[in-house]
Amino acid sequence: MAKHNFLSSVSIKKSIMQSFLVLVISTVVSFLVVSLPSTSHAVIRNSIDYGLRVNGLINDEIDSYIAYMENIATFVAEDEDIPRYLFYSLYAGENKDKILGNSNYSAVYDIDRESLFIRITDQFRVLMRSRTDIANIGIIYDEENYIFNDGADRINPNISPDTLHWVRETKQAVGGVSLSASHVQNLVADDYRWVITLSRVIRNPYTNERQGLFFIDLNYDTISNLCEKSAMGEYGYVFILDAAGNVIYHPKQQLLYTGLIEEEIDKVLSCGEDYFITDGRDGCLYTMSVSDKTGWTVVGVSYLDEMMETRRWITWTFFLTAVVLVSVAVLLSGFLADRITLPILKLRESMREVEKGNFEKASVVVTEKNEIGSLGNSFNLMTRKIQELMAQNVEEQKEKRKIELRALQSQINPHFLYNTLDSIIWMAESGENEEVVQMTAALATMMRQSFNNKAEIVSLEAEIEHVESYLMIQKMRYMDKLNFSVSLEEGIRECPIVKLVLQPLVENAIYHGIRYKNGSGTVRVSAKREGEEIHITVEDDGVGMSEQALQHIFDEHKVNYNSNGVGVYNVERRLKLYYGNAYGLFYESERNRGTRVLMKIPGGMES
Amino acid sequence: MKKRMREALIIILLGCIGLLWGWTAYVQDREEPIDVIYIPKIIDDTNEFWSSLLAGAKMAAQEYNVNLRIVAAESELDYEGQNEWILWAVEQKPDAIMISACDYNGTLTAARKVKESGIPLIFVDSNVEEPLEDCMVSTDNFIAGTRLGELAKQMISDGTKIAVVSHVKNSSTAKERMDGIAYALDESAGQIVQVVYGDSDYAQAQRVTSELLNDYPDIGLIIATNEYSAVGAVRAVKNAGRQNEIAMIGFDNSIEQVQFLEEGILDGIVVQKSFNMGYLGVQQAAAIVRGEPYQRYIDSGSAAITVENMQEPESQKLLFPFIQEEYQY
Repeated sequence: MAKHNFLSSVSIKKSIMQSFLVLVISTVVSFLVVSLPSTSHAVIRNSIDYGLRVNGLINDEIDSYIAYMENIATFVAEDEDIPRYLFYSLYAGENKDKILGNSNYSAVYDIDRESLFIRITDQFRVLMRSRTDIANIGIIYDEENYIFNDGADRINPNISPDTLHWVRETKQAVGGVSLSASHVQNLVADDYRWVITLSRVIRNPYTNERQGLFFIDLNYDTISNLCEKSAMGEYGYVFILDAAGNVIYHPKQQLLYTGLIEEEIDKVLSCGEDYFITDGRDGCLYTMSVSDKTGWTVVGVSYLDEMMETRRWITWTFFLTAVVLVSVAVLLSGFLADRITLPILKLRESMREVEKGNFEKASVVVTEKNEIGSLGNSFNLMTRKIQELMAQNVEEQKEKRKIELRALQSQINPHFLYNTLDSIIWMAESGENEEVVQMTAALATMMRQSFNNKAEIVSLEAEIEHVESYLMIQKMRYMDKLNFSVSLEEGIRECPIVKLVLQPLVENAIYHGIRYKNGSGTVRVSAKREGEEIHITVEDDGVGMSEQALQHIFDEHKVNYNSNGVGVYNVERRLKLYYGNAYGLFYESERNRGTRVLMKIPGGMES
Repeated sequence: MKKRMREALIIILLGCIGLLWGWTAYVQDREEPIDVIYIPKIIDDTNEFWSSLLAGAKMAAQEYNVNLRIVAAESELDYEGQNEWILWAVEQKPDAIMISACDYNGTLTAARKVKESGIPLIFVDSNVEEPLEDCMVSTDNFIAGTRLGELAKQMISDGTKIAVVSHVKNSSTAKERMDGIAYALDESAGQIVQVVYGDSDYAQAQRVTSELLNDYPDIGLIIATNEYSAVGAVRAVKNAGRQNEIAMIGFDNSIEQVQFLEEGILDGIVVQKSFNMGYLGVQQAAAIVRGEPYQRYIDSGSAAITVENMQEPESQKLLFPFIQEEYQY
């Protein structure tokens, strides 16, 4: 394929492909640019909403859980048996008279302490059995007067209750109820479990002072369950702080306690909003909900990485789609471009063939039924028309040439015929019978040749025979004035030649060469092969021609009425028409020495 | 033209393959679970140190997607039993093996087998005499010793006689803790009049301490270097009825020692962070297996607690491991 073609085809293809690519890529890019940040924003926004909602739910559940425990506390604490038991030692025995003035309690301390103990521990046992999340339940007034759980647990001898933070806090609390932070319950001997303590003061009914305390230690079953079932993604988690920033619950509480990990507690307490996002490689979203009831802050933590996983997934999907679209665009545009350019290229190829003249190869195979198909069809129609026109033209040319050839074909000059017939009559009268026969036979041979219209081409032998007959007739007429010789090389007898081309040359030689010569002249006709060609020479030793005459030898208008009317011009024209410009007549002449004309025709050329 | 087209197609195909590769790499980024076998000295839920360590290990196992199997012999002294477990573990072809070596010398051969098998080896708490491990997580005993020494320094005056009830003579931990004590005491180190060894046995520790009390009636401070030594020493001092005269410093946070601390018999203790030890051990194992950066040695840390500050929340956090039910062994 020519380079020229290639470039022109690519330019169409290129423009189609480029437009496709620009269209697709710009669509995809603008899509990405517009949608990705908004998905990122939406993902964070959704996560915040989700986190807050979950936190809120956890808070609600914790609130109701604590409320439930408070109800239990109230229920137990208002049982009259408890102050009776706790403060028994204050008012029993020798102190009994102190309360005699109080009618309400006159009979109270008639019940022995043991019965109170049994009643209270029974109640505690029931509670402990019904709730697995209660670590301890107990009442305490001082180191001597207390009941823990089933009554068997002792107080830690090394701990003074009033030194404990949660005890002090409860006794000072408005309403007398408080919820502790996470702490180790070391009031009960040998316990040391981490618990959250809900405690409620018990007033001494006589002094109305906050002297006793009821407490429920909650283990982390309920709270950790609550926090753990509230998924913040696969890696996210929930933790709870109390109002002072102490950790109530954290899934990695021990690591936090031992300082192996740190939590953004200060930020949670100080940020003032209900969420914040931490920087760094492991960026996290913190969402906070504060409970009005407990003052606790439930904090949901989710990893941005994990949140963005969906976003990354979306991004990947976008990119994959983009790649697929671009590929499809490239393929499609390539296909389209090919559909347009390939037929055009085929047309171009055909046109080149037409340019070269190869009409047979020019036809285009049209498969499309579109505009380009119709273009191909038109092209085919056009080349067919041209082909027909050209064939017609060739035919016409042939015909024309035939007609011309025929027109140019020499006829037997009527003067020659009359003269010959006169000669025959004259010889007959003179009784030269043999000569009459000879001349008549020669004339017959000539006439047979001339009148045979069918054949344009005759054998060289026939042509030579024809000119020999002519020379014989002329020889009889001019007697000693004319001598002639005819030679034909063996092996070329059957070579074809345009008929009646030699006779005018011989006629010229006689009439223009020999006739004006003093004394006798000789005409020599010889034919021989010369390579691919056949050379036939007609020579005379007549008067020859001037330079000027030689130059005008082929002029058309040179008509000699004495000759047979068809001159050298016609012969030359016929030869050239028939054999092409390489062939024809070649004159040599010298004044008073004679003329020699060489006729070149192709050797062995078929008609 | 066809060639150009093919080139374009190849480029697109390569692009697609690249994207798919990235995609699968991204998907595979989610960690596959790995198999780790941990052979502690003992599995004993009454022992605060080990139950807390195992809880830490389990927490890390959950966090780092580790399929953790824990096996151990019946007794801490049964290093042959532990060796059998180590050989068993090698046969299981886990991704990593963690060992708390029972015996500095006796565990060596078995630990070598782990090394030879090419399985990453992590020592937790205690190692063997050759550095076979890929990673070691333990309390830095020298630092723990300096904490003992610093506590001691607060409790002595010029001339106070100090005795050390160490645990196993020539054991690396005993030596390192002793060095730490001496380093922290500085010029007061000369006040150490005697070092005795309890051989990690309550009775033996009590016996040697009693002897010590007889030999040096004017002892003012006893430093114990492990759980057995501390409990044994306290018992001896209590038996002698001299708990109010002699200041004592313990090691590790068993309930018994905490109670001695509450009683005021112990004036201070140094606690190890066993939960962290377990946690870090598994964390490092996971890092080694996953080809992530890890440390050759990690100090899981220790802390000093005194009678005065033991009720403070920060001390409570160190004294009483907070272990969620799901991680309890």
